[in-house]
Amino acid sequence: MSNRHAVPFITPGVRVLLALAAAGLAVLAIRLVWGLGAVTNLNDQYPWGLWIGIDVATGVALAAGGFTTAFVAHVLHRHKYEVLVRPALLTAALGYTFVGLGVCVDLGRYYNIWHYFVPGLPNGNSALFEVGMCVCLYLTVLYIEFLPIVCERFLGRVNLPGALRALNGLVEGVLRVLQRTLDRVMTIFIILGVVLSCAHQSSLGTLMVIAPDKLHPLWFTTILPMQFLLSAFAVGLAMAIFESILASRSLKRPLEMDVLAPLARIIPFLLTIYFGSKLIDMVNRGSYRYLDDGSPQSVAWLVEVIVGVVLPWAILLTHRLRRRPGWLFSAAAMVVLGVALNRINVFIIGYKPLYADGPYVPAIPEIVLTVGFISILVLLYRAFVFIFPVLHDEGEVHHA
Amino acid sequence: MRSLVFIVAAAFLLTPAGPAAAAGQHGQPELPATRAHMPATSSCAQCHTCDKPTAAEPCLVNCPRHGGHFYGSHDVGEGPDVVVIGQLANLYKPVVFSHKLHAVMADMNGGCTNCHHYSEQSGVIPPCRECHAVDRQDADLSMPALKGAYHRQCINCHLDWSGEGSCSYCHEESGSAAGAVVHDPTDIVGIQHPKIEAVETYTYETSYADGPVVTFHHADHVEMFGQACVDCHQGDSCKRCHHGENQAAVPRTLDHVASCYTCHAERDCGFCHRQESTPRFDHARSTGFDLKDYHGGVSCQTCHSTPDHFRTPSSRCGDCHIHWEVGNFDHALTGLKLDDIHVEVDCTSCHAGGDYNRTPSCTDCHDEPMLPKQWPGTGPRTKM
Amino acid sequence: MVTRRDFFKITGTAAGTAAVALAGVETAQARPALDPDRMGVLCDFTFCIGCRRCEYACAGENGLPQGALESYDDKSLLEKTRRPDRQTFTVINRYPALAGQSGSLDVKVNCLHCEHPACVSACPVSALVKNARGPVTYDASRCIGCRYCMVACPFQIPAYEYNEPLTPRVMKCTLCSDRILAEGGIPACVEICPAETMVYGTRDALLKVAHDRIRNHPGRYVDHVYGEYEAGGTSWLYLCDRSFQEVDLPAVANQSPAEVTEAIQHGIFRGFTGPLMVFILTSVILKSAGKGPGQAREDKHE
Repeated sequence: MSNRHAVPFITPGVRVLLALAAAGLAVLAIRLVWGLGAVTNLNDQYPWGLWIGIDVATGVALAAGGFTTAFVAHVLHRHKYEVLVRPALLTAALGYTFVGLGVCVDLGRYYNIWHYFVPGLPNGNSALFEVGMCVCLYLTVLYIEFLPIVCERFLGRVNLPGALRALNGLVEGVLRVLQRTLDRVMTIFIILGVVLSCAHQSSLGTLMVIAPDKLHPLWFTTILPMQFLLSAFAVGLAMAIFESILASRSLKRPLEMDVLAPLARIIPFLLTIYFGSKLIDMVNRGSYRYLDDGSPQSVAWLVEVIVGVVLPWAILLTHRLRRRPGWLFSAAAMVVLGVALNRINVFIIGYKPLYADGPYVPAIPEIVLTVGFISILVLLYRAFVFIFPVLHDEGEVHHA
Repeated sequence: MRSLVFIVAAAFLLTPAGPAAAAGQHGQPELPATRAHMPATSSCAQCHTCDKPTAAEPCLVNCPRHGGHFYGSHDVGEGPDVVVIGQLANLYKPVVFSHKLHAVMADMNGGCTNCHHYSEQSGVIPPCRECHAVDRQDADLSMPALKGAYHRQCINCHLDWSGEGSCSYCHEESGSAAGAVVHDPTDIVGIQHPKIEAVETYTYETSYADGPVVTFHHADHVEMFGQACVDCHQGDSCKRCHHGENQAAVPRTLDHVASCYTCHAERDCGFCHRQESTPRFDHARSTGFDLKDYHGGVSCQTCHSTPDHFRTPSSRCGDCHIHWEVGNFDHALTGLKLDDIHVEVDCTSCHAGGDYNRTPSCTDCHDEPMLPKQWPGTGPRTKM
Repeated sequence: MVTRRDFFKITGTAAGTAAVALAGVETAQARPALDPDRMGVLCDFTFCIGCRRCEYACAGENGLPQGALESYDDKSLLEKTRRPDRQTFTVINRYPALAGQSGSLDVKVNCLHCEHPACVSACPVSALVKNARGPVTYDASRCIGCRYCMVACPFQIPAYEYNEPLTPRVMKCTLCSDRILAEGGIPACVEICPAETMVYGTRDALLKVAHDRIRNHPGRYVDHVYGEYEAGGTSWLYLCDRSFQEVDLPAVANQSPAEVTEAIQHGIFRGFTGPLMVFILTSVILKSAGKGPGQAREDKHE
């Protein structure tokens, strides 16, 4: 399908990504053979590190574009945003796949993950159970949501090689039925996606509510689930804008500014609610007194809020700047960075165990694996974009 | 253990009115004995935690651990000297507890109630096991079982006192042949006592006209003659030193220490009583035998087998050093390293008659007197 | 396109199916009642002599690396503050004497076996369970190794076998559940302690004993039984001559941290009202937004 795009699949950048991916897989092999202790700096004080903080928590947050764009385009019927739905859907599907993989790498007994479905074992009191279950279900929903794209790609173009040629007609028929069925029920899955996303995005925040004495007061609040959900709304749209501009530039396609700019208008509104809940809660709990103590946590909080909320808020509210791709991209990137930083702060920087000798600093292999996984994700995204009709083609109209 | 009394029951711990005692008293229609120790105004709740105490379940409150229900006064000498605690000896041999020693120490501060937190009204102190169950499973939760009671009694004090908390300090393992308890349990100042700085020399003025001055070199007896504190101070009271702020120091008398006669029985009066003070013991001056460097580090017993029988050994080297012969005596120690020829020569060839004090005569072998111009080896030109 | 009737038929069916399918999970949220005669241990730090025999007995009982008995006489270890780890379920730490008093204080550290354990509430697959008789037990065969229990524990107790590639376990005190759940057994550390620093009995009786001790020896203890209310109460109860924070026991709230998360979880997911409401709300918006003036207005944006 490379003829759909103006650039070749393999570029110098892709080579770098391939190398990083290989390094990540090497670390994975070491982890599988010698255990978590061989590649991580995790210990009894810091049971969760980079992989949970970035691969899982941040991964889930940044994959929120899937349900937020679907909500705007399909539920609110703002159909012009549909051009963003498919890339965001692909990001979400890939993102959640890697969240699942990231969890499995971090799990000490990953082979027992099926215990989630063994009657009698699931613990409904556990926020982690809720997160895991929702991620599983949502991943299924995302794959189903992606199926129409597969149908569209192959319908009328099924061309099996050799002896399988005889089956071409059959496969065509199956795809046609599948497409028609999916078209009828897709609304359900879109709604289910929204429900499941709201559920686990918030539950991800509930995770740390169980550690009131360990999470730094700048972040600890019982409304952490709500803040996670609110920030997921904002970062979902920002991520859609961010990756759209990135993909267009990378694939040398025209920018979809007429869609991106109006979408970006919603973000300051969402940021206001999110930041408002943060500030009210901060005043309510008096945690602002930790802001000027010069601790790494206070700096991290300020960076998170200024870079991730205040600056993009100001940029996106300025009509002139919002229309300019560079500023729009910067603002979207800052929101993404801010929410990513928030997740990292909650799970890593703000996590203060009772008896730690020093702070947790990720080991090199931990970083290599995380970078490797992200590289694979980006490579797969690129591959999917090359193979499937994910990005909006000029003049082509997608189904709802 | 010499003349000490062995008792196979210890007698310290107890709770206020333990189950055994209480059961007996409360079984009776009126409460004669227990009434006496309670103020008339006191309520039942002062001693009982439930509304209706029964003989089986008196539900008594815990007694204050110290200064509680303890009656009468006891003299230090009243109790046993040594108590052997053997009820729980399964892993270890029975513990030898020096009761007298502890009683004396307690007498200085706190008294019997430091350990004995209960006695009957008659003053009789019942054995610990009367209240403290031997079997942990039968124990009342509010008080330790017997093992815990013993251990708390001993270890908590010993940790405070000397930081000593190891099992082997008191216990000797049942299987072991070697004795773990190396100290004499009657040695008051011998056990875990910080070093006592004594005066080096005491000079006494006496009324004995022929020799009024008695000089006692304490340092000589400890450092040179190897006397342990307990050899003289056995039975000495701690109060000699540890008297209270307002108490006068107990004056020093000969009664406090073993008499000098214990060792110096065969000496006459003049051995101690002199006209003037005597210097510290000097081997060369008193015996005419200079120890020099060679014998300076040798303990007294090596030459004088027993302290009470100071046989005077010969001053001839060979009488003691009977094993010295050619080949196993390093002549260089004398300051003269024999040359190859003389090192092979028999000792008595030069030292005639085995008299090593006399300068050897060269003319026994050589026609001309070689010394002092020529020496049979190398070394300082000093006379042996 | 989907008709309105189709839409509600399908959404209704999907919602119903989801509710039924997940109803099994719902039942797992009920917390089993605790036995009124559940057991506990009262540990009186003021009696501890720091002999470390409990560490020795614990290692033997739990199949952990156990040195020769004499090796536990090494008191130098007491001077540095240790934590229980994957090879040691209990440790003794020594703290200097209070000003004007003689004798240091030795403090035993191990899992407190909470009444409402955060680790049990956190465990997604019920590998950690609170036994009605007291112990919080761990079943490695159920564990998926997420280590959320370690995050959740308000006392920072569970340790992990990070260097075990295939079968890592969460490691913590078991309260000798095998021994005590059989009739008449007592925990190994309680049994070996020469000074009977620890008393094993029903939690209610121990609380009474603890308060009696405080009342009868006012100078000996601070008026606080640690574990009576901490984190919703614990099976282990501590007595001490000083503030418990001075011996590195955390000042935790009287409410179990799990109370809050469970309230959130139950608030959102009880009867699936939360998800159902989002589902219905989204459906209504989807149907009404399409008909409203929003669609017409849409193209005027920007």
